[in-house]
Amino acid sequence: MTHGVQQAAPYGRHGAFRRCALRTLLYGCLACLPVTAAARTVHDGAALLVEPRSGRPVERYAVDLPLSGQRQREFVIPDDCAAVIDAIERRSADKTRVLARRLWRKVGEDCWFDGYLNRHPFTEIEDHVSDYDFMNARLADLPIDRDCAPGEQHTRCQPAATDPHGVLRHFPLSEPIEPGDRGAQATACALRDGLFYGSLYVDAHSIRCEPDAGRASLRLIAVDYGDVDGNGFLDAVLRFVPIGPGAARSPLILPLSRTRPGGPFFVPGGM
Amino acid sequence: MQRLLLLFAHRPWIWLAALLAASMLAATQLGQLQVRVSADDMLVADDPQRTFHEQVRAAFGEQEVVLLVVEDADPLAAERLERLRAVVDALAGLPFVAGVESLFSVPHIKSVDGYLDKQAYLTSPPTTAEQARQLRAAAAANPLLRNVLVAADGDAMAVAIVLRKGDRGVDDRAVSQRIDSTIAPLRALYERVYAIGYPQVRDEIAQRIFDEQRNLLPLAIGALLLALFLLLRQLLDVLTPLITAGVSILWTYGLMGWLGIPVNVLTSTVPILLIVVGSTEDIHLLAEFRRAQSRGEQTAAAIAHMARKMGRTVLLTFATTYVGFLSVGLSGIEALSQFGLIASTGLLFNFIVTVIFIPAALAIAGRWRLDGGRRAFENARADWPERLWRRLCAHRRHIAIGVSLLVLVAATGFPRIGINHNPTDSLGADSPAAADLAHLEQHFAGLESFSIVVSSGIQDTFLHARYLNEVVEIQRFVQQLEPSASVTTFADYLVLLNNAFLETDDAGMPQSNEEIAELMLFLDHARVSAYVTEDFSRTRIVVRHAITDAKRLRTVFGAIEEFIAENTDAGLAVRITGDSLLTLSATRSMIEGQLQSVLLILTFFVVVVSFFFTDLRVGLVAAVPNVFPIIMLFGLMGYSGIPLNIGTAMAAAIAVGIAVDDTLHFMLRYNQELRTSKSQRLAMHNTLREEALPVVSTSIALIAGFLVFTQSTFGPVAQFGLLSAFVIATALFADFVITPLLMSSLRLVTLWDLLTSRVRQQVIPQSPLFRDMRPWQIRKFVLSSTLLEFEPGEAVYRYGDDSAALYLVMKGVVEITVPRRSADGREPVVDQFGSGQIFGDVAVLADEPRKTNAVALTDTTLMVLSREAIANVTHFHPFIASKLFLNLARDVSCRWVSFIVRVRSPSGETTEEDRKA
Repeated sequence: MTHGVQQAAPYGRHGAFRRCALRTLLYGCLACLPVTAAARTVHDGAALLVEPRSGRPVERYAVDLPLSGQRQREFVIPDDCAAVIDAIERRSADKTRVLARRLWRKVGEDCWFDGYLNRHPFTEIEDHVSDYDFMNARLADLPIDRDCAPGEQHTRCQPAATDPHGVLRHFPLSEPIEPGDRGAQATACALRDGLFYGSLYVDAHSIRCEPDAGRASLRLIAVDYGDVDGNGFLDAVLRFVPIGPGAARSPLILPLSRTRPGGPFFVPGGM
Repeated sequence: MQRLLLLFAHRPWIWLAALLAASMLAATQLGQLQVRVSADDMLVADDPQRTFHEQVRAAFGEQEVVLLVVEDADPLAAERLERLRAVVDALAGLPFVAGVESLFSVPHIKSVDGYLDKQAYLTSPPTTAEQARQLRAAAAANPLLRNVLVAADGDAMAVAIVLRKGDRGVDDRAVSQRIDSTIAPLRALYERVYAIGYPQVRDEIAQRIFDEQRNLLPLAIGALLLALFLLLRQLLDVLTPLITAGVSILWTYGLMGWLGIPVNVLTSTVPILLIVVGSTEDIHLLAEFRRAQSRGEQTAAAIAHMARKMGRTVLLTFATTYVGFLSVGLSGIEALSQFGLIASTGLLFNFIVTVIFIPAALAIAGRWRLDGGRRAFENARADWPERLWRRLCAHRRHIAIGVSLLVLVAATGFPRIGINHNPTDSLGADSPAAADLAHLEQHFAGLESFSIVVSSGIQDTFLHARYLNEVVEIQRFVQQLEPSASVTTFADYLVLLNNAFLETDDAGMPQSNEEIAELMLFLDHARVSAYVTEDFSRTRIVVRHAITDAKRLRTVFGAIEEFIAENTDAGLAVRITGDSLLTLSATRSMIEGQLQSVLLILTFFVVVVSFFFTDLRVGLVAAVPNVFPIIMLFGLMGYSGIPLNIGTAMAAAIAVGIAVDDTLHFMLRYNQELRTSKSQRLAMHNTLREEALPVVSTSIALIAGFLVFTQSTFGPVAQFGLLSAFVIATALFADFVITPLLMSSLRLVTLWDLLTSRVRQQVIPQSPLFRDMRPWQIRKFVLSSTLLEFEPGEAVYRYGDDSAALYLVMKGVVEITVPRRSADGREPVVDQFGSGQIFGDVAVLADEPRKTNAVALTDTTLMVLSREAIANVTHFHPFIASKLFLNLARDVSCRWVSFIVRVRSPSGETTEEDRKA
């Protein structure tokens, strides 16, 4: 999975403890928040992982991985992530077969994600993100260039140059159409229960939506929380996957943060 | 053979006791006899195709499946599902069941909130009609389930009961019955419920075999005996075939029980075979015995007459048929091989029992004419053979045209002959298994299957999109070729996963290797082990279908192979295998084997007849009446739509065996009559008269017996009976119409036959011309010659004539003179030649005109060997020619020495000097 995010620091030896503390703290703060029906939002630093073979969303899973010398060992992810990373770095992971390579990569990515989410302790933290309904997020709220906010006229909209986080490329983009031919209500440029229907198009002035109620093109599959940049403000980590016929499977991990209630979302530094 | 028959008549009680003892011993083994119908037994044993198929089975696993089918307008109603689930669980618990696959266990691969969900289709039963409809639609959209577990039209669904491999500890009957009893509760809930698979089919076939043997065989025997009684009117003559056949059947089945050879579809026909073939020889022997008896001979003399007249014939007819059936034993198909060995062994037993029992029984009871009734034909006018012969000769041309037209019409039927290797088609419309199978094929793909195996030899090949797409292309082609078939591959699983992850129904195949590898994270190899090997170097396309016609199947295979050759990467090895292909191969092998057997019988027959008549033409011509029934048989099959299958192919072999027997009897009798009468017309007349009773009697009796089998509800048995009766009737026509006409067209009364006994036994063997020659060589030589008669004073040749022949004096005296008048006006005598001596050879060898005159002094008979005949002998029989020329050289040398002696001593005295020399 490509996400343009810096590789997390190696797992600290106190990681487990930190996760536990964070879990305890946040669970209390967020227990009253409505739990959205669709994608699971985890407030305790435990990433939602996809179990191999079954495909179930789980917090941990066990997997047999091949090692050099025709050995196999069972690893429990994310508990044994240190051992996984160690095996990868010491080249004791057997990656001669295509499927073995892919499985090691998947496990490695899961470990990285878990590490990414928990690389900073949840000691004192301000939460201004978990009250936002990301499953029904408006595109206007996402840190696509403000100068290109959908539905509004702008003169300086240059999305190719002003989309440093690559958000737009994970949305289905259409070819430009005649201005004024179709326009979308601002409310259409939003997720609905985690799904984005239709596609975006960019004209000289703004980004507009091409709504298509029947064709979902992007799904928000998970929202996880953690302080990924260590600034004391809780961050939301969104995971998107393109869907629909011909979709290119290049999932997007989009961390978002804000420092005041109702404030604009931004991509935290240190990515 | 003659002595053997007389031996068994000498102490009959001892021999009958020996037969009884052997029979009792055979009876003790009957308990071990088993009935077994196995598809594998019908395959070619050392077929390379089979070897490859075994490898594929080992690589991908093999499942024998029984399908439980339920049909209803609303098969997913809650109360039905609950009971169905309970039945499925009960089926899974049966000891011979390895597993059960149904909508209760097959995963419905889909996305739920973006995550993969693999719960079974019926984890939660639908609560509304709309849910049920959607679920059925979803299942029918799954290519791995459509036409396999879910009918495309949605009203029927199936449960796949996977049986354990290897020895399950229960036979097909037990499997069928246990499954039936387990699914019984469903019959009250669904409109239609049945379980169908190869165990059910095999069980029904085995049951049919058993029932047919029990019901029809006695009827056939009864019809046979009734016909024999009406024709022959002698109780002993009627019972004898029954006894000899019965004993030989007992011995044969006893041997099978002892050797562990099961009764299968083919070996179950051996009793019929033994009755059919065995009875013909019994009737011939008995007919000859009765003929002698009717002339007033006592029992012993009549037995001797029978042995003398029929001993050799019976041996030869047995040998011909034995060789023919033994050749079937060489087949690569185990069932056919067993049949050939068992049938030929049974015939051997029948022969042994016949040659022992008949003389022994006749010696004891032959003098009793128990009913005294008149036989068939006894009231007929004695001149009926003459009248038949005259009619045949008078209408020879019409008959020839008619027969030729018949042959032509029949031959045009050959291309219409279909081949049906599917045993289920033979079960008939009233068969429960056939009805269930027909329903299955209407709603699902069918029980037949074959695989298209694609190999690269390189691991992980079929994790590459490029090569998987090649497989998908083949899959699409086959599906388009056979829309009703189910064509499934490993790629179908990937498509299901891709659809789920992309949350669409038409995502199709992943287009990159990375996507495939990612999808494989969520697919356990055990789930797809039937489609791809663990190293992903080999994959297969499984095609389930309902094609039973061999011709159609060959067409499909040919189209697939052509597509593969034109469209598939050269680096991939693609090969078709499967039960369908092996059965096709076995069918072809079976037909070739049967034709080989027929050819062998005919060849042996031609050799035997040619030997007896010392003329290959006779053997070839005599084969024609035996080929005629075969041509008519295949023509009838083509026009009536009777396919070539195990039963009908055997009809050809069995019928030819019988036809050849009758023709052999006819020809050997004709040969005997020719030697006696020296007249072809008279010989034919006598042959027709003598052979009519046994041949017509046995033919009519056999036709009656075989026609009983047409009442069978088992297709191959009914067809076998009809065709066998038809062939025997046709052979009867051929023997009494075609054979006489053909034989009359050949010069069969040879020079050898015309020579007197004295000449054959004294003159010829003592002639210097035939010195050191074997009798058959002398005969061959003589048959190349002609006979000339001369009166006293008649010139054989004169000075200056062409020297075109040499002469052997058979009777009389010939004087050789030089044409130079002496003082007394007489020509000087060079030599005189009497009985057995040769003359005229010098000029022939020197290729010079005659230098002398040859004149018969008395009534003289000369054997003339022309230069052309000498050249033919030299060319075709060089070994005989070498002896001929050696003898000629010796004779010329002796004559030259005699001449010199005469010149030196005009008085003809031999001097002391000459003697010393």
